[in-house]
Amino acid sequence: MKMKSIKTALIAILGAGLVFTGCAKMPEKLVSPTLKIEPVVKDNKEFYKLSLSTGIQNENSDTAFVDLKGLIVFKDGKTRVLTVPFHLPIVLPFDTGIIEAEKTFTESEIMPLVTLLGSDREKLLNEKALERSFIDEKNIGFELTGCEKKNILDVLKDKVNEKN
Amino acid sequence: MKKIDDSKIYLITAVTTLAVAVILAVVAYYSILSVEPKVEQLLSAKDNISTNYKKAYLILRDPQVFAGYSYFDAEGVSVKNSLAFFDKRVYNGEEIDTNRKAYLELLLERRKKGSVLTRNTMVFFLVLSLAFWAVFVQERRSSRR
Repeated sequence: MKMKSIKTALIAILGAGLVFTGCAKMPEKLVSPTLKIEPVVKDNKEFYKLSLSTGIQNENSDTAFVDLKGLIVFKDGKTRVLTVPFHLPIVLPFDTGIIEAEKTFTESEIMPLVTLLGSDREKLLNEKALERSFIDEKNIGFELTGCEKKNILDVLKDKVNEKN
Repeated sequence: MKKIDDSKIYLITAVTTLAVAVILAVVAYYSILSVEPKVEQLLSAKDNISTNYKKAYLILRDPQVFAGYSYFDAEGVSVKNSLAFFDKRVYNGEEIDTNRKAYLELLLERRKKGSVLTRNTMVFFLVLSLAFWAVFVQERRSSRR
């Protein structure tokens, strides 16, 4: 009878532990996304290089996001217009992981995004670049495909031991 | 009319509040007598300053129960910024010099405040327990008469 109560108590404690470990707040939006699209010529063919700069905030006090992988998604309503993959080795608590992504696209791939941003092919070619500092939250988001949540103390202790 | 004997309720409350006081005492005095002096000793080091400060930070990074790092008022913003700063330094293997000692002391100060809060709460529960013990004894005496 006593053993059963101890077992029940242990299960309850472990269960509560699991619930609290899984309670880390995941990032929900991108911080100040800015992008630049410029035409480039590669192997005598016309391509468009997209440079994207944004951040992902970790608002947790004790959880570090390790190996954060995902996609920046440009969308028009519910339709995906373009995706750009990103990878952050670590985002420490109260810190912002800076994403600096660069990818080259063909004309057919990039034009829906150019249109979404209120421009067109001619305008882009004339001005040599399309830059946007403020992108509506409706048109940009992200999806996480992989992320390991680690306690910051374990991360820091591992780092200190690694150095010693 | 028969007098209702409330002594059992008083006894249970007295024991429960005493148990809470004991748990709080353990938490408070573990920090006051063990953790805080250790951190102070590391922060007063004259040699291997960076290594000792990092050791002190790793101790301080695990907050006192009553002084967690999840919620900050306006006064606590400097603590939040210090945590972000030191996490980055330690993770990147950068040195921590004496100029940063004040920020580590800030974190120690927060821990100390947490310990004092725990100790005061312990005293409150202890007084509550004593009051219930007194009422319990009184109730027993009157029910025997």
